[in-house]
Amino acid sequence: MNRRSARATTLVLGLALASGCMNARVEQSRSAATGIEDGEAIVILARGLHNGNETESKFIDCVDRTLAGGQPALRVIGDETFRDTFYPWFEPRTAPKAAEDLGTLLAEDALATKLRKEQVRYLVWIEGSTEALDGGGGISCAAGPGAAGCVGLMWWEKDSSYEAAIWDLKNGTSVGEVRADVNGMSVVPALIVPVPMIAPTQGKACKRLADQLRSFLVEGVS
Amino acid sequence: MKRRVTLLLLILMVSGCTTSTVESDFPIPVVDKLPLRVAVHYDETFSNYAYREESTGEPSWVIMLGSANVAMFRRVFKGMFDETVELPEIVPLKFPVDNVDAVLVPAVESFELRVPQQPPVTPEGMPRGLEGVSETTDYFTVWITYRMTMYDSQGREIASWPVRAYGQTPSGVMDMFGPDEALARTTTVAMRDAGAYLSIYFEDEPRIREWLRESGWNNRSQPHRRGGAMRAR
Repeated sequence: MNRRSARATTLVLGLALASGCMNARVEQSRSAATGIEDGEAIVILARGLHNGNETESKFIDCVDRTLAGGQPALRVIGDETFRDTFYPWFEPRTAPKAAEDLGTLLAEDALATKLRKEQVRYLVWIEGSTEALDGGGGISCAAGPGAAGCVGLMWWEKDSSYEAAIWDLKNGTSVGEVRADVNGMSVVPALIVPVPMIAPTQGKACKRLADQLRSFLVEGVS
Repeated sequence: MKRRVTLLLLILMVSGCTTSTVESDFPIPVVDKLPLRVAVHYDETFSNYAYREESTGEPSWVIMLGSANVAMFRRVFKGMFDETVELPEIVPLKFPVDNVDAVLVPAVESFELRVPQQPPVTPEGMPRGLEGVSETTDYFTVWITYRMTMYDSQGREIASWPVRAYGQTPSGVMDMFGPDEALARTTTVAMRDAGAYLSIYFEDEPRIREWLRESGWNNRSQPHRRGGAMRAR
């Protein structure tokens, strides 16, 4: 093996190894004690639809599923069901923009009564996105009589960054924020057949954010 | 993404017209009801309303929202007032109307739309939309202005005011459901916006507030829902 092919092999192996690993960072800040009682529900909503910053709905669904399915399982009301049940207060134009608006909102008798009846305890606003960062490489494919194949290497980096602002509807206050950042490299080496090794940064960010949210809400203080 | 949107728009231009029918399933607003018995008059123009846009060299759009209009206002008024009754569709409206406190007549004053990658002006040089967006966007956008007119039972006008609504959905909705469904969904978002605004801000309309106070229905002298919850656009 000459020096050039050894270097190429090292690069391929390095990228292949890097594709398996992701960097995750989870942070939280707390401004009040929390806790959740039996029957109390949590709602996860996407922030910023009108600003063109729509958090992927599949990410919200993933957080819903993870919170509802883990241990301890939390009672989660889906985004659409919640917006319909509490119409017109959580539409893009009418939803509270900051926790300070909760006082005005909860002064509405009909709304406050229904929130109590449905036992909605926490409202979690999620903002963020998954974006592709730097990438490179290329794959060439060719086909001839009786044979076909591809050669090359492609890679790109993805970053999933999400932030959850948590409001306590029982007390009408903001109780804190949880943030998850996951960065990973996806690689597609091709030697006859392309073998995609995709870093699932969004799925990982969902799991980390949901787990941290659960412990934030259930454990109460940290 | 832009390439796919352009391709779909090209297919539309070749194939002609897209017809969207807006869904009629709206929630009842959770607001404090006013102790009023209100008659509502949906005239034929309103209950059969359809928006049609045809420009040379562009796709044509037809949006049927008449029955959804009626369905939406039925649900909204049901949440807002103690009791509502519907008057016959026939025009002109006949007064006096017995056993009611007021008569409400909704109408569509204007409807405008923009689709992804559509130029900000029509081929005739008219700007699209009510917000003066000067660039193409990746969104379906719908602007609706309703005009609400309220009379007392004798036919005297109490107030007439516009309710402006806005709806937006990303172009990805078109990839999933097609352009007709994407436009229908965007129109639904705008209609929900109108219902939300009306049900929250009805009492804040100065002449309505004055009438409510004079009639003894409401002793509040200040608007009670103008908090930080709704941001003016």
